[in-house]
This record gives sequence, C-alpha cells and structure tokens, in this order.
Amino acid sequence: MKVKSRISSFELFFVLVHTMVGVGLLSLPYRTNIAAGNDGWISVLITGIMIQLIVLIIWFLCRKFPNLTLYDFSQVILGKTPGSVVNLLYILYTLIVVSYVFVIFLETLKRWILPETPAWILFLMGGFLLIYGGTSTIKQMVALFSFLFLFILLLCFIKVLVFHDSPKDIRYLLPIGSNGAWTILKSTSSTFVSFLGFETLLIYYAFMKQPKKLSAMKGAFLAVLFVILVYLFIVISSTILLSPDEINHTPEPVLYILSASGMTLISRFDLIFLAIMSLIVVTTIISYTFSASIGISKLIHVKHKTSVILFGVFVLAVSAAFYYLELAIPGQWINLLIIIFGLIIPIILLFITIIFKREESSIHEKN
Amino acid sequence: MKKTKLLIILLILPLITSCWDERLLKDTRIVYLAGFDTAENNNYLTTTIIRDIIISESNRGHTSVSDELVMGKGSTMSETGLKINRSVTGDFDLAKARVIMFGKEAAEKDIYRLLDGIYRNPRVNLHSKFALADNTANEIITHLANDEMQKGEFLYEMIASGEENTEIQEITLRSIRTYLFDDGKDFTVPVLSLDEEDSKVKVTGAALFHDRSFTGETLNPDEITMLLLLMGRRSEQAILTKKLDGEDNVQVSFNVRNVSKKKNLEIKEKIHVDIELELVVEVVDYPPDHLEKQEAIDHLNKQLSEILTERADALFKKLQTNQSDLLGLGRDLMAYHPDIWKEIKGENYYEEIVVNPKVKVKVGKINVVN
Amino acid sequence: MLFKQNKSQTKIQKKSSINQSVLSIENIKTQLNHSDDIMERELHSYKNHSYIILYLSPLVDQDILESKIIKPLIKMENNDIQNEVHNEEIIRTNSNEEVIKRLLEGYCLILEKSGKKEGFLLKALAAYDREVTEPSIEQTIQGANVGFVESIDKNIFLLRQNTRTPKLTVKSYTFGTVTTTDVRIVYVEGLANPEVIKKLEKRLKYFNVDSIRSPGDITDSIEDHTFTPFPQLLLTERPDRASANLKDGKVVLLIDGSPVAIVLPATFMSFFSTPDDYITRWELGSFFRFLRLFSYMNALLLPSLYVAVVSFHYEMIPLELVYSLQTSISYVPFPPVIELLILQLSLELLREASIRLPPSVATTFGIVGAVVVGTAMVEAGIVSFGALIIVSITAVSSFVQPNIEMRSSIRVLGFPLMIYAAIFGFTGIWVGLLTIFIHLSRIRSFGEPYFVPFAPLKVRDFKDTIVRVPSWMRNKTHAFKKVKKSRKWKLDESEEPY
Repeated sequence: MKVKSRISSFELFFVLVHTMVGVGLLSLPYRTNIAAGNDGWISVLITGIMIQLIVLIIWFLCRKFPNLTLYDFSQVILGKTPGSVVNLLYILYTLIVVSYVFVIFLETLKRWILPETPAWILFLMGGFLLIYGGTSTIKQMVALFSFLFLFILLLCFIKVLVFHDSPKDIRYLLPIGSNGAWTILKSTSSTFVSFLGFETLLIYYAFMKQPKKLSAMKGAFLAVLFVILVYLFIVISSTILLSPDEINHTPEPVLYILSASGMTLISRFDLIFLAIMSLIVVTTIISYTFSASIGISKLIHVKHKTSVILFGVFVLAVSAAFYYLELAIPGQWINLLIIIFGLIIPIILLFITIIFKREESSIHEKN
Repeated sequence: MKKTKLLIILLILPLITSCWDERLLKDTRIVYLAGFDTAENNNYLTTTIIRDIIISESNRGHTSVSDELVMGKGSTMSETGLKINRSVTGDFDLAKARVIMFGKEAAEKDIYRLLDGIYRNPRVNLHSKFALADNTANEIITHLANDEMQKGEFLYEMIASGEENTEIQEITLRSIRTYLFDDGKDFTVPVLSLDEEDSKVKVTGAALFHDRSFTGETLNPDEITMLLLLMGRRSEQAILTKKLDGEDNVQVSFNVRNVSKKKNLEIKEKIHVDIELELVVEVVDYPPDHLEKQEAIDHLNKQLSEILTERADALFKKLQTNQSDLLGLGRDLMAYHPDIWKEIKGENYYEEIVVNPKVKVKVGKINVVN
Repeated sequence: MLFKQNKSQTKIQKKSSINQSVLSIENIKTQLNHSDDIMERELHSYKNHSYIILYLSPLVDQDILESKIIKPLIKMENNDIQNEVHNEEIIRTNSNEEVIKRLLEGYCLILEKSGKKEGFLLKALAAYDREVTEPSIEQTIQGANVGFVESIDKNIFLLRQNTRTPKLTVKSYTFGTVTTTDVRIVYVEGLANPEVIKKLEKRLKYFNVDSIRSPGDITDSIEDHTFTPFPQLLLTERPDRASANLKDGKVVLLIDGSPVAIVLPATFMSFFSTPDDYITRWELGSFFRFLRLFSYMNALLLPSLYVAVVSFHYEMIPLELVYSLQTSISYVPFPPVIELLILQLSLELLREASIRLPPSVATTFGIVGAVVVGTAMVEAGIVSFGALIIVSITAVSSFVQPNIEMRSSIRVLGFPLMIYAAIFGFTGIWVGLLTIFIHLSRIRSFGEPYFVPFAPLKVRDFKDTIVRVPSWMRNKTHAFKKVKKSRKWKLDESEEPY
C-alpha cells in the first residue's frame, strides 16, 4: 500500500525533532551525570553521532522502498507472515514507549505542580490529546509540529536567559575526559533513551518527496543535529550551574535550575517551562501514535481513526497499569528496545534486502 | 455527532470534579521571613512573621494589614511547620519567602539536614536570601515583628543593598545547595545582629562556613569586600576605606573600578598558590588631595598595595585556620590538577594549601574635584 | 502551484486572442469571462434596423439607458447613431480592447446587427456615488467612506468600480424554493484559485433551502467546519476591502438584501488586518497588526492566567503584587473563577443592552454600567479589584479585534480555558491551548490551511501577516508581479554627497 500524501525534507525535520525532543530532556543531565560525571556532554555527542549513523542505515533501507512504510516493506522483505509478526512487534514496541513516556511525564507533572490531582484525570486528558492529535492527517500533524517548533525555540530562549543569569562555575566541566574513555562509552547506553524517536523515520520516510535523493535526508540529519545541539546545551549548562554531587541528588536538574530563577515580573520559570515542555511531550506521543496507527490499520484493516482510538485505549490501559501497579519500566529496558528496534532489526532487514535482492516491485506483483 | 457528544462530555467532565491542587491566594498565609533555631531536647524552633489581612467590621471595603509573629516547635523542620499550621488560619507556605534565617547554634550543625525538607518542596522560593543570626533567629524576628518601621522587605532589601556594595557574597537558597554539595568550595553567609543601642537589625559581617556547617568565625564587612575582590566578584560598587601608614589620621576611601586576577600554582612540600590581584580604583574621599601629581599617585598606589596585601594575607590566615575554602581552590585543583587533588582529598585539604596574595592598586580616574 | 496555473492560463488566452481582436459579441463575452452581469439586448428601430446593445448591468444607469439611448434608438429615422442619439459622449470604434475598457467604465455598446464591424460606445454610467452608506462597523481613519448597500446590483457596481478589469467575473445564482434570493460569486479570473471556485460551486449546488433568511444560512452550509469557534469566511461591509481581497485572489460572495460581502477563503490572520493598515505607513501598520494579535492572545489568556495565578501559582508574581491582590481578594466570598464569571456576565449584559440603545444614551449607559456598577461591586465585596481590572483589560483587548466573528471566538474559547485553569492551573491552560492548536492546525478554509503562516510554519509569509511590509516587498501579490520594480529607482545620492 503506497502512501499518498507527501511531505518535504523541511517538514520531516519538524516531525523528527518533535518526536525526539521529549520528556527525556528534563532529566537528561541527571542521567548523564550519574553515568559519566562531568563528561556527560561527550557521551551525548557520541550518542548523537551514533544516531546520525543509524539514521543513515535506516535511510539505506527505506530508499529501496520508496513510499512504503516499514509495515509494508517488512512483508516484502520477510514474506507475509513473518512481516506481520515484525509489524506487530513494532506496534507493541511503540505502545511500550508511549506508555513509558506517558508515565514518566505524568510523574514529573505530579511531582512539580499537581501533587494532589488524581492520576486518572490526567490520564484521560492525555488520552484525549493523544487521540485528537493522532487522528489528523500527516499534513495536519506537520502543520501542528511546525507551529510548535516555535515553542521549542522559546524553551531554548528561556534556558539561555536563565543560564546567563545564574552563577556559573566553568570548573565543574573540567577536567575533560577524566572519567575515562570506557566509562563514557558505557554511559552512552543511558543517553540513548533521550534520542528516542529517530526510529519513526522508518515510517515517516515513506511520505518523502523524491525519496531516492540524498537531499531527502537533509531534514533527518538536521533534526538529529538540532537535537544534539539542544541536548549538549542542556547538559553543559546544567553541569556548569550545579555541582557534580548536587546533580546526582536532583532528578530533574533542568526544572530545578529554572525554579530558582526569575525576573522582576515573573519568577518561577520552571512552571512556564514545564507548561511549554508539556506541549512538546504531547507531540512526541502524537507522533508515535500516528506511526503506530498506520501499522495497526495495516494489520487489522481498519480506518486510521479507529486504529488511533484503539491505540489510545491501549496506551491508557498499559500506562495506567504501569502507574497504579507501580511497575517502573527501567530506562535500561527501553534502551535495549531502542537498540533492537532502531538498529538491529533495520540492519537485519537491510542485509536480507541486499542479499536476496528484495525490491519494491515484488509487492506490486502480489497485489 | 458522536464526536461532538464526546467532546462535550470531555469538557463537562472536569466540571463535576473538584479542584484538587487549588491553593487560593486568599486562604494562604504568606511567609516572607522564616527563622530556624535549635531548641532544648534536640528540638527545633521555627519563627516566622505572617501577614494577616483584617477586614474592618464597620467599613466592609476597607482592610488593614497586620503582621503576626508565629512560632512552632518540633523535632524536625516539617513538624515545626505543622505546628505553625495549627496556630494560624491557612497554610504555612514558603513559596514567597524572601529571607531564610538560621540561628547560630542551628548553623553549627549540618545545615543541609535542616534544609532538606525545604529543598524537597517544589514550591519553596529558592531565590530567597539566606542569613545567619548572631544569636538566635527568634530574637531578631521577634524584634522585627514589634518594630513598626522595619517590616516586610526590610531584611531582603538590606541584604540586597549589601550585595550591591560588595559587602555580602551573593547567596540564595539555590546557590547554597551547590556549595553544600561541592567538596572544593565554601561560602559565607551574612550575619544579622540586633544592635542594642539603637535597637535596629544590622548586617555585621559574614559567617564562614566549612563543608556544611558554620565554623564559628565571622568576617567583618571590610574583609568580605576584600575577599569578594579576591574572588573576582565586584558588584555595582566596592568602597574600601583605609588608614594610610606614617601619616596621622589620613584616611582614603576608594571605589574599585576594575579587578583582574592571576592565579599561579606551585607545588613544594605544600601547595603554594600565588594570587596576584590588580585593582583599578577611583578615589572617593582623600582629604590631602594632590592627586594631580604623578608622585602623589605613585605614593598612594604603593601604600594602598602594601596595606591591602597585608590585609589579604591576614584574611587568608583566617580562612586557613577555619578551613574555609572560599576561593574554591579545591575546585581549582580538581579541575586543573586532578592528580594533586587525589593526594590531598579529604575534609581538611585546605591545610595543604598556602596562599600568598599580592595586591596591586592602581589609582585611576580622578574625580570632578582635583 | 497557484502561480503556475495562472501563467499557463494566460498563455492559452494569448494564443486565442488573435481572433478575439475582431469586434463581436462573442469575443467580448469571452474576454469578460462570460460574466453573468453582461446584458445583451436586441432592438429593432422604427426603420427596421436591428441593433444589439451590450452593457454591464451594474455599471449602467437604467434611466439613462432607457431614456437617452434606447428611446432615441428606436425612434431613429436614419441609420445615424452619432447624430440622432443624444448622449454626452459617443465613441465610434472597431477595437475590441477599447470596447472592453469602456464597458468597464460604464459605457454601453451599440452594434448594428447587419454585420458592420463597428460599434458605438455611449456613456451611461450610474452615479450611485452618494447613495451608498458609510460602513458602520468597519470604520477607518483615512480610508474611503463607502459601504456596501442592500441592493446586490449596487454592490457589484461598487466592486466593478474598485476592480476595473475584464477578468472580473460575476456568476449569479438564485436560491430558495419558496422565496428566492439572488446570490452572486465575484472573482478575478486567473487570480482566484480555480480549486476554490470549484469547491464553492459544488457546495452551493448542495445548498438547498426553502428561503434564505440571512447570510448566516449560506455561510453555515458552505463553511468547511461548522463546529469551530473560528470563522472561515470573512464578512466585510467595505467595497475597498472586498476589492483588495479580490486582487489577492480571493472570491467574494454577495447576497441580495445584505450589506455585507463574504470573502473566502479566509485564514486566521486575515481577520487581523484592516484597510487602514495599508493606508498608513508600514511601520505603523505593522505595529497595529502586532497589537491586534497581542490583544487577541491577551483577551483569550488573561482571565485564565489570572485564575491560575491567583488560585494555584501565586509564587510566580512579585511579592508586592501578591500582597495587594491578597488584600483585595480576601473579603470576596467567591473563588476567583466565579468572580470573573460574574463580571464577564455583567459585561456581556451591558454589551448586549447597549447595542439596542440609541448612541447618545449608550454612551451614558456605558459609563453608568462600567464605572458605577463596577466600583459598587468592588465596594460591596462581591468582586475584587484584581478581577475587575482583568475583566476590563480583557474587554478592551477583545474590542481591538476588528472582526465580530473572530471576537466571539475569544468568548467561546475563553470560558472553557478559564474553567480549566480553575481546575488544573497552568496544566489546564496548556491542555486547552494545545487542543486549540491541534484544532487550528486541522481546520481548513476551502482547502487552504487556516492557521497558515504559523501552521504550517511559513516564515516567509510573515511578511504580510504579522508585519505589514512595504507593498513592494510583498511576495504574495500575483496580480502585481511588477510591483517589485516600483522601488528600482535609486535615491539620487550624487546630488547630496553627504
């Protein structure tokens, strides 16, 4: 099934940025600091470069099947039934990731501003936004994301403003590389989770105009680059503003720093930041929902709208289960999942494609 | 139609629920000043001033404001808060606190343990100033509550203006936490004391902290200005007054315009740190004058340099005895000489460091009057 | 896309224009795009000569036509139009271009049926000038004081006057099964997006009522989305504004008996511009544009922000402000959201009441209502100063919005936002805002994205939406492609070297 709508490389940029920048941003410095100390930013940089390479691999795979999503070409490559199994796995993976983001986000929200509000009503509101946002067409989603990109820039602006105002100590960043190459490399596994979202390229690439050309990838590369830069800034600024031991005791350093800042008219930037950040987190969820519902509608032959609602209900159920049963999804699991679904499966698919010379045309003969 | 129905339900749903996290402004008692002391039997005492709004019975539109002194005792900080809650209407809320004060005794313990509850609460204003009472915080706050003139923002403004004049290190609740978690850096906190003579609260100096507790030693405002200059910090103005040697009763006041600092590290049996401070100053008050002559300026430069070097030396001796590493030399070692740091790491690393300050004064711009 | 199509169309027209230069009724009609307001009438004179009279009906005064042209023509004894028909201006021509140009200026063409390729142009321009009314709502400071009237022909006359091009096309429809109402679509061929016209015609085809009571009947059934607070059709009572929109490639819908023109497709930002923006200098125009956008957000968000701050996040505002707010709030028995609702409601009452009053009373009434009632409410302790200030600022901000329909969207969205803010604080506000954003990015106006320079983000289009750049810098105008060159002349610097 070929997709009909087309987005430009520029629009792909917005989609990927919004899928990648999400709730992980708030606690990123905390995680990098625990894993790699003051060299967390190197770890972010290395992870970023690795993501760029993975994106390249995904591109190699996707360009062989122009205008086909992962859910379509998996069946071309592996055959009907194994392909469907892979599709199902991807949908389940997306379900877990969205639920994970949902729960983490909810906990953050409850910790910072709504300690008393019961979780179920927040779940319902999140579910409503997920379904309402997810039922749009790709064009409408891109429109929304491109508009909300202005808010990401606003977030960066607030962050720069606060960074400028706060007492800094550049020495916290030094000595560079003191934690040793091995620790830093190992720490990349915990920064990986912040780049969650690049794997949706497997689906969104199908919507590209001129998918064969390298220029189609410009948006994806720039998106990853943008995210790397934002993350680098967040990690470096947090390292400079807080002493190393302090970050280890501060699960959301980004918000903590903002909470102590203010201007004459408005203090407590953290509340504003969290409100804007919430918009960005919801876009991550919407984007994932959109990508998964394409798979669902392919798998069980329902309309896009129905599959979004289905997915939304499942997300609510799974995340509510996680939340109320107090099952914490460890970040490490998510890391493993990303590596499997973002890297290993695309590589396997790519190998099979190259070795057995699978092509797009084979699907047309069948249909 | 189904969709719109669903939408309407979703819109109405919140209406039937209550507002869980609501904290109406009219029900809260805003605390802008809180003091923490130790009390007998390992208890703590929290003293605050809470603003109350009184609606006059006769004229409904008119309200007046009164400040109420409230105290609470308990074995932990949060318990004292609960005690206070019981004695006033509304909630004890530190969200708008401007100054947090510690009594001397309380500060001599591990202050992080006391502050922990405050840091855990996301609503606390981390931008508030931190101060130390030279006796108990209770005493000062009680005094403030009785004195009509010195209410409200008084303490905050006083500390803020001290910061502007480079007489107080800029410290907020948020930056204290950074210091508390940093092994290679210490800080000072303004000391407030009640002047018995004119019964006013004044900033009398700064308390030296080491690690997480008050060392018991305080610096006078002059020393702090010197110290802050050595730290390379200069706020809007930094005025020092010095008595010149050899001349009777000749005082010179000058404002530091520009600070430049060079640090040099040398390792012998101990770690020697040479700090060369260059100050460009502007003379504010100098009765003998003659500053149009180059010799007079040179003379002044030389004398001031000598005096200030001496002072700086004395200051570092004081810091050394109290192990208070205000310049963050330990942090310097960590950042630039990690190997050395590894050797001397520990609570009392400052013993291994010898600081040789050298101050060079350059009289710059001449005022309107020559 | 649109641009390219236009180009190819003009090419086709050029090719066929070789034949079109010959003066004939068919050619003229083609060149006027078979607009429905072209009137053609055949006449037989007393001496049995046949003539065809062709004119654009809205532009022509029926009286003049009848008494000064048709009557003498019928009575004519010799076949000598120039001498026997008395008119202030008679032009004899065989040029097609001349004919079209004159037709648009209110002339009528007389052609002899016997095949002579020569026609006479006689002036019969209607002088409606001072019969039209001043626009009552959309007033400008320096713009023309001409408004649409109730007669559809006069309205088309006004549009034709402002948009003098043969490409202006009028299509007429009649709706209603019991009582009928005339509806006209006006657009500039080649500028208007053919997709939009196709969509509009399709939607009008489905439009089936027994009678049209108000323009609302039509707008309701041709709008893309009905369940939205955002209007997708721009109503204007100013011919100059409608004409400017025509020149920008929009389509104008006129309904008989209604003094407003419906402009479509309208985007979100088109409600934020006024004709004055283009009359004043661009800096000022941009400033007002910006002010309007700001005041819209202000009116939408201020009450909910106030509620959120006062009942959730008062730690955000300075201590001094907290004190003064607390002092004024503490004797009010209601929670802030109820306070605001009471005030909003009384404001709505005042607003509604003052519309029905004669203007001289309304002013007094406004003062009594706003000042006396407001102050009394505060004095009595029903509402606080804070709420009163917020509601007044909100009201003033909402009045900055030039369009009534857009203004009403503030009310429709503001109330739920306020209630959400009262329940969840900031969280409620962002949930509400995000819902609005998703909604805005989803709705379309005749196939074009509604929230356009923002979603999808087109920074280049900010030029004529958020700011109003000087007209020669605009890139939007297909019609005036050469406009860019209008600043090609250089300031003569050699004259004044310093």
